[in-house]
Amino acid sequence: MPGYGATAYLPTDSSFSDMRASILLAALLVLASASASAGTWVIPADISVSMTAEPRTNLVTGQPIHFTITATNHGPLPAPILDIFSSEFVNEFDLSNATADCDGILALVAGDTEFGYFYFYDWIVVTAAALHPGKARTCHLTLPLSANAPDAFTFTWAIPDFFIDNDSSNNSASVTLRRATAAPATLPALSAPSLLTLGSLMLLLGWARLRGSLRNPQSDHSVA
Amino acid sequence: MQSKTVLCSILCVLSSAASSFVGASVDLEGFGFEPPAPSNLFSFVGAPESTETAPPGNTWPIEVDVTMLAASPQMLVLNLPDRSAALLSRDSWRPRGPGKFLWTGRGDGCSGIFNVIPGHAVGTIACLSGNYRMRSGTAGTHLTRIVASAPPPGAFDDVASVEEPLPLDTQTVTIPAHLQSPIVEDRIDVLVLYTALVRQDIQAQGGNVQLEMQHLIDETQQAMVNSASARTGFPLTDVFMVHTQEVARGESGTLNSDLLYLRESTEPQSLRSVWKADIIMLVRKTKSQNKCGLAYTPGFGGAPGPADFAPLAVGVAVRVTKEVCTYAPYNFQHEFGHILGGNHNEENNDNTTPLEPWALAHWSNPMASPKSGHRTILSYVVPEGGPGEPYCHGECIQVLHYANADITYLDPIDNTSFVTGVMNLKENARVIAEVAPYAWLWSDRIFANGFEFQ
Repeated sequence: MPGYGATAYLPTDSSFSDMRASILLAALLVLASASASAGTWVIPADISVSMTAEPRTNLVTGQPIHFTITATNHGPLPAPILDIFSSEFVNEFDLSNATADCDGILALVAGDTEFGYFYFYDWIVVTAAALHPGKARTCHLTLPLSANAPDAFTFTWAIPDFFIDNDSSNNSASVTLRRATAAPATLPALSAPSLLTLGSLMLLLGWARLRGSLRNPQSDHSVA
Repeated sequence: MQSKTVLCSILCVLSSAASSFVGASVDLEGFGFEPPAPSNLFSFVGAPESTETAPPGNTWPIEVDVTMLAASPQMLVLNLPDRSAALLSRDSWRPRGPGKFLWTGRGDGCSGIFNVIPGHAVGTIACLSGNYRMRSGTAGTHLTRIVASAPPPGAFDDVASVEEPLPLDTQTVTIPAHLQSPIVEDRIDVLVLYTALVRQDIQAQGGNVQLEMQHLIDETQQAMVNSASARTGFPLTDVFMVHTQEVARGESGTLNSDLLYLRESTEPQSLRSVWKADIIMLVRKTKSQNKCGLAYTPGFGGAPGPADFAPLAVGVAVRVTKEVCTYAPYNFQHEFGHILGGNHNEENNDNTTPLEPWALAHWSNPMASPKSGHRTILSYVVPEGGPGEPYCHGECIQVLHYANADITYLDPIDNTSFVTGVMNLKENARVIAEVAPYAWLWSDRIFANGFEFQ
């Protein structure tokens, strides 16, 4: 048997010990579980998700990208359950050299569709102890860019929509990752014929305006 | 001469009775008698029929010689209608109560798993030349060849019944204390849960849902037998269904939410605790967002390794009476393999260094032959790509094996073979054998809330 190391996951909020809070949490767990049969879980609080990613631009294959994802409880009640999912990805990252240091558990899900596969991360934020109002938990994840990653793509972490919290407007955070070769996001690109047509029109307009100005030099400044 | 005949009759009766009760065979050769010639599995095979669930020409009405199977034959003739007969040698025979038993065996490039209960028979036949499903139902017993075909336009849509309203909270969890299973720590104990839609679908076909769930586990066990070699131990692991039941879980949610349901909700976790299950699998009828299966997988990309994997040992598979998901006849076993550290084939795997660098699935084409290629349980069909790009030929038939370089699956009748792995490169079977001893203990590492560790 190989030595796959065991890691102890400890509750991160050791202050949560008073009896009233325990009873409240138990009640919340029951509520959350009761709603689960309907496919949703209610979190009686506003949870926000934020993310930083460094670096985000001028990336090259193999370059580690350091993500920090943060979940914050803005109250009013403790969150007895919370998962945050990454967006689905296929082969944009080199998972073989990924590292993670997260409160709770960072799990990886392998998914199978009719025609292909995908992965996503499931950050299980709440394990043993609830996430209390005013508290935040973080997950540090380093993912090297793989050779298969496109020039630019968006990576998102979000509370899945089967969790219902008090304010869904702050439930996700996204970042766009760009290779060194990727052009920055600008105006939509035009094809060569379109550019030629646009240039010709501008020249024509300029010429017409110049002609008009020469015929009536005061027109630009005329006031009724 | 007369006394010899009488002796023979007594021995035959005794051997038949003994094997019926304990699944053991009696070697008649020691008494100077030839064992009886193996009998055909199917006592009748009709002309091919067209059905709703299979293309024309791939379904046959059949009659199974249940009496022969009940006698726990050492060998039987698998007389499939569209290929040469194969001789199967028994791997196991398990009585499961009056009129209930399981027979499994292998030979001539085929595996067979046959479950019988009074009034119902289900079977799976996994051959190098193709996969078959045998079911008894309201319209009699039929054999269907499972043909993996390109999905029709619109296949990305969920099937219509996904929005079918389901009564919620129709079932409460009440488990008699005496039914709690003993802890057996050299096997993976599996709790198989299913939705009401699965039951309704199976019942509509005249089937028995509990038997179907048991059969999924028996297929998985046979995969562990088929894939085993000296390096992995035999079998890779034992897989045992400790319990199966319908749960009050609709199918309007996504498979993603199903994972959370299995991990967090009272019903599955209570059942897991009571039945001491190492792994929970949920079987649902409908795809969602085109997804056919999901499972947590240990040990890469920052995910917990096998020692810490207990709370994540859950999976979801879409599996019903017809092939909703064409990518794999064995998608239950596919997701099960992910939980135990197995990965896809290298063309469909982001993970260049998984739990073990060689924990990959395998596919290949026969040498200098126009016949179909083959793939192991966790391998996708690798489609034809650009010029010179390797691809899996024909149907790319899936075999009931996890990748193991030691195992060559051989069909001497059709002169076909498939080496099911590549040494130190593509050997999911080895990682399953490595992770299994951890999995045996996963149920012990779960507290009531599912996330505390001992």
